Amino acid sequence: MGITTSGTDIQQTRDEIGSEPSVQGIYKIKTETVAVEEGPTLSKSRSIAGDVMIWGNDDFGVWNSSKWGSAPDITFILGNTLAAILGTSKLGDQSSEYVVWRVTNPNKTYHERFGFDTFNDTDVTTADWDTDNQKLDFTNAEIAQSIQVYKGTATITKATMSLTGTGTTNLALQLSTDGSSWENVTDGTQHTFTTTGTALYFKITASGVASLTKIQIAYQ
Amino acid sequence: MVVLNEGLERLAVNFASDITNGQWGSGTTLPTTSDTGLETAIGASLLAVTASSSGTQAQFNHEVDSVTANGNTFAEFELQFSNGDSFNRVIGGTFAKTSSVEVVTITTVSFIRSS
Repeated sequence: MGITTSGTDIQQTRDEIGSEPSVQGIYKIKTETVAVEEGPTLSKSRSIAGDVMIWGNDDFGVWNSSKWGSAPDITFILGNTLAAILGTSKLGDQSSEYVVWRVTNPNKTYHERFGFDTFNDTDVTTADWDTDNQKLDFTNAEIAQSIQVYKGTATITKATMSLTGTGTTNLALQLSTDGSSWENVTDGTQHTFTTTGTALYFKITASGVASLTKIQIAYQ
Repeated sequence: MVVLNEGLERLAVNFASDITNGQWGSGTTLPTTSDTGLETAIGASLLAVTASSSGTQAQFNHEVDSVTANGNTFAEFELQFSNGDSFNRVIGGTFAKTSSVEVVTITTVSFIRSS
């Protein structure tokens, strides 16, 4: 049927469609916001000073003067069964460890969302820092400890540590400004440090099962 | 209607490929949102970053080796897009770069739901 062919057809079409409904649909628009969160920027340096040869370096690549390695069981010494382990032994002396000299957080707030383990102190942490699923899982007595989550020139006197996750009441929280003097803190409550310093570390000890998806530490 | 985790993860993947370079500068003026880059860029430190993504996060590693940018003081840092536009500018403690050290800088960016 062509509705433009005659006035009769148009009226018939209107009849078939019917009148407008008395109840109209109401659409609610839920606004969602996706934010870009600038996370911490960590800078670390590694000293190459010493007497170990570094190929191509004017100061440490001096033939017949620099050494291939000097620390038994640590640096790579060709032919030595204990110190010639590829993937483990280092080419250089012990001074060639990275040292964190700066960590900057926007708005003086550190956010940890577990996609990377940059700030995980793997020498201490026993909890499951799960980068695949972006969470930190604990069972009883497990520990999660960070390296410096802030490092700078400003002295830290106060900080507030806040957790997002489940089983958080099973977690004991501690903060430190030097990595050795740990002070107990309460989730979401501002803490005033007894020992102040120019760095910030966190430590979490579990007394039961817990799982975190975010750690936030605001400091001043 | 909801933004999916998969959508946030795709943003992180795409962003990781959009950022190509990092650079140090010697400027110490506090950053503002209207900055268009570093205050005083150190040309030799403009280097490609190694980018990766994990879940809803992207991370960028910038490495300055022992023979690069010596004699400069590192104070400000930025990430750059491939066309030279700056993503961020970070100010903090300073570092005197010499031939005795290598410097690595790691920046993490997250894509999150914000209510």
